[in-house]
Amino acid sequence: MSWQPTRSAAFRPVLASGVALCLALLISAIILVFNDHDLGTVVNAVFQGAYGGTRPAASTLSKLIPIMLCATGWIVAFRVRRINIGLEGQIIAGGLAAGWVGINVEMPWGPAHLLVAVAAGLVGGALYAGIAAWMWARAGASEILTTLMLNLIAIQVLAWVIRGPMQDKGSGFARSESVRDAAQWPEMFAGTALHWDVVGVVALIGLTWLVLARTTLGFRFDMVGANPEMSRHMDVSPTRFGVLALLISGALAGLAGSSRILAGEVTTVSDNFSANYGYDGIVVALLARNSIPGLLPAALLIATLRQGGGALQSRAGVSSEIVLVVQGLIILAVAASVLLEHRWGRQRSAVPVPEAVGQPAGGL
Amino acid sequence: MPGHQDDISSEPAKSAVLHAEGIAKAYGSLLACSDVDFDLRAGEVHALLGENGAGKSTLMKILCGLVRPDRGTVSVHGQPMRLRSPRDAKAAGIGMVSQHFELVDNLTVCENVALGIPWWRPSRLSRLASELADFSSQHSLEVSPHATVRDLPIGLQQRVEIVKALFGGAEILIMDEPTAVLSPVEWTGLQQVIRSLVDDGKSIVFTDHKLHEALAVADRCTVLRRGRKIGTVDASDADEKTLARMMVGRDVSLLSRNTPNTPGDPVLELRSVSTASAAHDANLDDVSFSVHRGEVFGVAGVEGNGQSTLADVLTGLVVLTEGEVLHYASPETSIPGDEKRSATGLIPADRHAVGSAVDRSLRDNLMYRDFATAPLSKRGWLQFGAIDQHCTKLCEQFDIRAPGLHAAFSDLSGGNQQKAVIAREMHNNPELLVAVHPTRGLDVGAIEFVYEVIRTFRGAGGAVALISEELDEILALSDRFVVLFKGRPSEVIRPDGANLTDIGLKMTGASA
Repeated sequence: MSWQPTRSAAFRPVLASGVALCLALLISAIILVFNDHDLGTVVNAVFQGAYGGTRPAASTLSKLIPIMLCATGWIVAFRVRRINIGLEGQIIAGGLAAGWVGINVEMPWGPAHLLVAVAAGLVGGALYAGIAAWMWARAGASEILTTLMLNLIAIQVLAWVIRGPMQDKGSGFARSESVRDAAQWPEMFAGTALHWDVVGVVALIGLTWLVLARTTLGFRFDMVGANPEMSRHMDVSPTRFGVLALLISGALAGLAGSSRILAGEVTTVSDNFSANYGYDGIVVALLARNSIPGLLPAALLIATLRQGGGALQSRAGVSSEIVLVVQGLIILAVAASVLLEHRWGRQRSAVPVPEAVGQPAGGL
Repeated sequence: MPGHQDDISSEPAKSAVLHAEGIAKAYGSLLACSDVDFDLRAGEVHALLGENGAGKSTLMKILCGLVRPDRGTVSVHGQPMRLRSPRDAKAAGIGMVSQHFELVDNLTVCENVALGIPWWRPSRLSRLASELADFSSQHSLEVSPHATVRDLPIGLQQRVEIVKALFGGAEILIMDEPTAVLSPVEWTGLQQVIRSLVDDGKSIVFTDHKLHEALAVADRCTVLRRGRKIGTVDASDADEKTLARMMVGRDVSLLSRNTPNTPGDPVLELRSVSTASAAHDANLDDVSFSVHRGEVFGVAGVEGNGQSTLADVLTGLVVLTEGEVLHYASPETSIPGDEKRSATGLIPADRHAVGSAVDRSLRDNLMYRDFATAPLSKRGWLQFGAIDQHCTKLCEQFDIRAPGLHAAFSDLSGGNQQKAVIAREMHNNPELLVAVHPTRGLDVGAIEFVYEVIRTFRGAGGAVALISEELDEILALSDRFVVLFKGRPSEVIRPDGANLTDIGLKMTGASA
């Protein structure tokens, strides 16, 4: 008997997501055509908006950073079957922490300042997720609800902080001062939105992937996610690893927040700097079926829609809200494909494979 | 009543209340049933026997309309029927009592019966209650219509299922593994119920793993193996040995007693252990015993009397309110902390909820105990080459049959799943093995394997704590045992010369 892995099963989710995506785009196209829009013009406008020149292309790519970080954060938590809806709030917490360090701390050596600010972002996000993790571990409070509510709290705290303690009193606007130059990521290409943080972020996401797939820590996460009761019997505490995964998840979102401030087009802390990237991250993780390698194409799609969608109104006369419709359709289609796949899977394995189909009746 | 069974077999379709002919059903490439004939005579109790995956549940599901056959016909009272849904089956007078009861826990018996009646009006509830009371006493199926199902013991819940089916007009009762959840006392009760139902003219088909139970109550037994019918025999002509041979295809021996042993030093000792935190089970109350090397120590009793609490205590998952649990590595030293648990193998009661992760691969399930140790991982990094080697070795050593290491655990048969759990827990020779209901839901062949593993382990000087509801299992495997009732143990009993009636009384708390 040979013990070969069955590769075909691994491609099933890719196929399902692909089909779902095509279906969503098809429905979007139908909606556009029924509203008397020329499809060619719309597609062209999106691509021109996203990739027509260095600056838009850099902008599109820079959007990958928060989206992929948040999606990775979602995946880490979901590996332990914890649902972290609070990525948005954790971005805000991380961004606030990084911004505060970037504005108020003075360091003798420039690069250290950047490092400390980035670390503050990581810690800020982790601590904010830690609130929900703590409530879950201590009292069993559903992290789905607590993280969602913490998002709302984060938005309000941000609104207060930039009108109060952190406000740039000189400008009179509801925003902070600019982060000191030393705490900013250098630009990758002058005058574009792409900064050097992208290298570190890509490396970090790769590292996360390695940890999840190839280390005992990742295996413990997956074990707890697969069966917490069994894990308990194997001395792998579901509580401890659930909390750890939520903290890592929050740290990744917090890092995304720090990049929004330290490598942003604007370097001030202001309302809505998190810009829904936390929720986009969830969509991308869903689309990638919780696989880290799958994040890149999925994130690229959402980033393209985001960047290109902004130009729709001016270039094709289409309301840019259509992008939200397309996104919604993608979510629906992917969610449906997950359900369908589960049902197929159940039917397939409804009958246990007997010990010896076509095998000699030896042994047992 | 075997007397009238020989002469009419030439035309089974006419005398049979339920007749299936040439039934075939395939799931993908797997033939669950292939050309199976089956007939149930009026007023007959017919046992359907076979190993897991032999096709008996598929046949049952076809007979009650849950599954449509690819080929073959089912006739009721000689009339060919198309059973496309359980509703069709019900209309044809076929009632089903499934293994996992389909009752709403927090409703009363009466309300549960009402759920099965179309066009039900709540105003009829009190009339239904009195009808139900009459009906159940008529069929000697006494159960209070106003009792809440949750408060009833398992045996009575099953009775509610039977009442539900009969009240819906069933003449033919199909029962899927009715004894799987029952205590010995409840099983005696069910036997009486079955007899009185047959006296009322009902006909009954049931599946069972335990041959002696089938022989005790059935008129005829039909044996399936790998989707094919091996034969139908009169129960009066059959014994366990011949039936087991028909099921497995060779001789099996289960109930031979242990060879005498000379127990060594204690490995585990419980001193006046009491608990207070058990949620779904009785708490332990002053439990003391010790398990020695080369010994199987049995804990008998009906589920819910502290067995799972005891299992949690033995694996260190429960905080004791009183007493202590001592693990001894060698005669004098006791191992502290985490190491003691790695020296304990656990075959949990529920293979799926506790023993494995069903939607992960066989490989993952084989490494859950050891993945953090060399050579499976080094400095925190999993070594996949070594892991595959290790798992392949376990599959060979423990005869686990699967399409591959990456096959989903849920695609393995129950027997192979249990073997995988045993392989994971036993391969590195733990000091102590805690086995909780280790053969629950397994077929004869797999049970034999489990017994063999436990006996070999004992023979090699291992200590086993065996918690089981099967008295036969306790008697066959253990050197000494206690009966647990409401968290309190009886005095230690030796299987030789044990008085079965006395043990039965201890299990129900009516100690002699």
